[in-house]
Amino acid sequence: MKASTSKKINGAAGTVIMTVVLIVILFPVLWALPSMFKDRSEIFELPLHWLPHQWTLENFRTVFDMPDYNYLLSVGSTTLVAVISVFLSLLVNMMAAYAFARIEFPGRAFFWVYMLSTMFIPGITILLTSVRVVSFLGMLDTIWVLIIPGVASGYNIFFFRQYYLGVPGYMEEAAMIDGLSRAGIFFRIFTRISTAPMVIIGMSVFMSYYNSFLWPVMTITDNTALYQIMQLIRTLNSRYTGRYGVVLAATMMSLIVPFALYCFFQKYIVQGISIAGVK
Amino acid sequence: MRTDGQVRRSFHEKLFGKNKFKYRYAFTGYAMIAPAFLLLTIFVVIPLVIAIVRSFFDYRSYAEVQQFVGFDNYKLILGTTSFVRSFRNALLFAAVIVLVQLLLSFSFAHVLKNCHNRYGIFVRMIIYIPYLISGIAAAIIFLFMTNYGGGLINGILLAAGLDPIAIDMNVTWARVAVIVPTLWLGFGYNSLVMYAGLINIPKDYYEAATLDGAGWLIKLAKITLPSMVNYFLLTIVGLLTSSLTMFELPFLMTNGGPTESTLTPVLYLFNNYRNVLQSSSVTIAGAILVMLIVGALNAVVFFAVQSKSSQDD
Amino acid sequence: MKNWKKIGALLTALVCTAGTAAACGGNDDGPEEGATVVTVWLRDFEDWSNEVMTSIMDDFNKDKTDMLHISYRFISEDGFGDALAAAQDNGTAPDIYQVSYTNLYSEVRGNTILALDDLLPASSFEDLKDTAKELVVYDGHYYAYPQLTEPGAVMYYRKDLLEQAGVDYSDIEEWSFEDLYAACEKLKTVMPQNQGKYPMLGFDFDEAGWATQGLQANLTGGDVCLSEDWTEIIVDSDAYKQLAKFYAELYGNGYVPVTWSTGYNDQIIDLCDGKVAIAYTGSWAIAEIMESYGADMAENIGAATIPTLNGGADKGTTATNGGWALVIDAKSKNPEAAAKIIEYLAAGEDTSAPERYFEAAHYSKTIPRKSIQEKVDAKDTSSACPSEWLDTVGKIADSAIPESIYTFDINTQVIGLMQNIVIDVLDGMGWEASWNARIDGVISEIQKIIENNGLAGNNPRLQ
Repeated sequence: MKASTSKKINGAAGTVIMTVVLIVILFPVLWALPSMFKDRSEIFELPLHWLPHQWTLENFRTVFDMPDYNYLLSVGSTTLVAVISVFLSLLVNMMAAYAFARIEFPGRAFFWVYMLSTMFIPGITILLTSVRVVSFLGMLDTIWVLIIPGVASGYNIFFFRQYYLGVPGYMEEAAMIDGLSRAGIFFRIFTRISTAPMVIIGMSVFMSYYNSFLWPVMTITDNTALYQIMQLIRTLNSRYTGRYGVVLAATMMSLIVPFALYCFFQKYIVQGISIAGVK
Repeated sequence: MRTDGQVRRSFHEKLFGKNKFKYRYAFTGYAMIAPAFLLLTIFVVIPLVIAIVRSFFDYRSYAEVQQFVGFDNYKLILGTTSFVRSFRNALLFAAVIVLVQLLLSFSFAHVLKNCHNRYGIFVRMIIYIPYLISGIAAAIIFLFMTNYGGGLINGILLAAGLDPIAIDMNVTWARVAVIVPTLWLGFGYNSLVMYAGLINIPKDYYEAATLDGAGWLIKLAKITLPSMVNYFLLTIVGLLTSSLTMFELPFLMTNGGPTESTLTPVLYLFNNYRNVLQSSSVTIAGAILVMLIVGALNAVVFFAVQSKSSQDD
Repeated sequence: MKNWKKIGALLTALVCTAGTAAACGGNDDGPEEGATVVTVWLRDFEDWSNEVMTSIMDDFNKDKTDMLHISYRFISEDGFGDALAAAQDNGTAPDIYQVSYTNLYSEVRGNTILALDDLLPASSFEDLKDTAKELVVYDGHYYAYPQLTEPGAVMYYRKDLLEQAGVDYSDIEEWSFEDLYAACEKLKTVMPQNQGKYPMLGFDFDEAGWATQGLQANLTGGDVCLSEDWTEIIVDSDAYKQLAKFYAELYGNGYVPVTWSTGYNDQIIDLCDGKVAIAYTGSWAIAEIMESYGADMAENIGAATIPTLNGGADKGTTATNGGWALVIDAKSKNPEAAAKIIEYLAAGEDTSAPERYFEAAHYSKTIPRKSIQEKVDAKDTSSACPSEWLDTVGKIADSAIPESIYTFDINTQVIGLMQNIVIDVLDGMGWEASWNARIDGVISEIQKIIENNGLAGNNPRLQ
């Protein structure tokens, strides 16, 4: 009796706490949302009001009609860069992870440590010299400079290898008896059985590309079609300081792509965190 | 006539000798790691080597001869007040963020664990959302709330007849304005990680402890915490790394101000890569110091966790 | 298997789109066969500025007989320095780029740019006004050609709001600090804080390092932060205490908002929007008023010299001449061709291109060349902007000093001191107590900067 009452109270308290947390989490975005439709004179007008007195689409018009930047193109090219990178990254890192998990070759320990240790190098340390390298390769202001340098990742290789080490060996033995080559096993079997980690890593790669700021700032200086969305928002923020509604409109619209993606893969991701442990 | 396969096999034998069976797929192995190996070499290792070499020279792009200066650049950067101050700020941020975030997410994970209904699932889905938002976008949203003239917070303060808060003219509030969005961005994610750790602990541990008459404190100390050491370690290291390399939020929220009280190492480096009077080598030396601190920290925890989990297996 | 094919098809489609996206970023309509291509990197400024520069350069490229072609880029300030550094490292630097007068000396010291004496005709340099000339000469050589100069400190005010508050602005040109405080005190009634309004916007701390240099020179009688030969630090002086007091008065009495989201360069927006009645900003604000608000608003706005400690009719220096100049990269493969482009854009006998630029700027930029000035003076420019503004700005520019060229960190230190004093004042401390507590630390920091950069005795403007 007593236990169940306390459980109920616990449950009620839990619901209250969760509701508070929910509000705190959603509040900043919800507070800012209607202000996209506020005129410049109204946006910081006191006394506070959440909904605009006078709804206007002017901010969106400004965002879409910038003479030198194309907002939609930026969202498009950022998404494109992120999508290509997700595929390349999964391919490259999963292949390497499979080799490290399943294939014996001379020097494996060396290569393993070599590739793993790259994950302890902060981006800022090699920022300037990386720009030198990509500039030497003639990649500046091309789509490749955004994609290629971040494709291989020591951490992601490590992550997939851990996962593959847990896959029982009999699956491969059966496949080999069927005459599949090692590469065949990887492509036909291992890519199939790792949907969950693929979604998790894929999503995290997507987010890191979609939200990247420092790297595009350094490498995309002229090609406005490739202006990454965060870079564009930052530019808008310094250009339209007096018209914050414009900045908000651009920012809020940029969230649509990751939110949509999250809705689509949401089940995998929230479960995935428990599979993955920690990413 | 020997078949292709035979040729390959005999070549293999020459190459690997007695290990020929063990290494029979070696070429596939090399081929499979080759792309990652090349990419990491070109875009991580080579830039790092260049950076290390440069940090020992007084590098000027248009000079005829680059002058070797030993550790002078390191001495210079360590004697730069702003850089040292940026590290102190970062340590403060890291301490606050790690403590507060850990406490909040660990506590909230318990709330989540005790809620199995649909509402719990819904909450778990929603709290992840800020994790999708970049530092830049978060800064825009929080700048909107903290605007001096008519943002939400100052609107409320003014309506209550209080003085408004200027986040970039008050050291404490400036730091709060950097820390709060950071906590907001990571809270949901970290709670979910902690939640994952909690539900992975077998229930019978707790049941046995209850039979032994253990209270919640003993359960926490004897069961929950030990079972979650890895989760804690990795979360701590993740939070530490991200706070020590914080950039976007201080860059947009306060631009390091007022008077460098929210300047972080990365922001300092970003602002000084092309400090025209000074060779970029000095800044690069600073960047390498960042790596020595952040990278080493990560490496130590990473290998600690690895060796622990291999003991567990 | 089907999945992989689908993904493959998707990827191919994406890559193709990527190629298209990457391709449409360019801005060239293609150089003529065998033409020398000169690359020019400009800063990404206001829309009107980018537009007029684009059209000026496109017009140049339309001429297919000159065997010259400009390939230009507008690069945002965030990435400019790094892009340039990387390009110079790789030998892919642009032939011509834009340098601010503050940074020009660093470029000279770094040997990254060419002296222009032999590349441009002597007449180009003779045509420069003295105030422009001194900005680009080092060791007796011309290292850059001034594109424009702009005084960085002008006081704009809203006539209607001052009238509402009962402030007499007929003698505003002669205002002292005290007059300004008195005006702000009156303005407080019509600009209540609880409606998000303030009497004025002063020198924003982020930009004050250069924006206040004119006022600093006014207070010290000429030098800024260091003695003329860069051997002594003159910050621990009455002049700088007066600057601290000025800041303390403005902030301590609530004449200015404690912080403001529009930076110094855009403070005019809040003036036009009626959020403040007085705003300090540079001459460039004229273009912003005319472009974004038009003539009706312009009638309502006055421009004046900023108030000084003692005020009076002849205030002397109150502003710095900032602005931008064009330089040729030291490793340019075609310095002669690059010089031709600089002639077209700024330095040549045919002044049509720079004239177009100044017109588009509503004459908010000070013209560095005598001949262009004469032509503009002969024109009726009243439709571009109120002529009294131009008179005021011209007067300010004539007495303005060049921006400092020693390591900028010194200015940052001094303004950091001012900001700390303001923070202390807001915390209830007296400004003098705060000054006394902080000044020694600042002096020793500046001393360190002088030593690390070998500045003492090395002011090139004295040599």
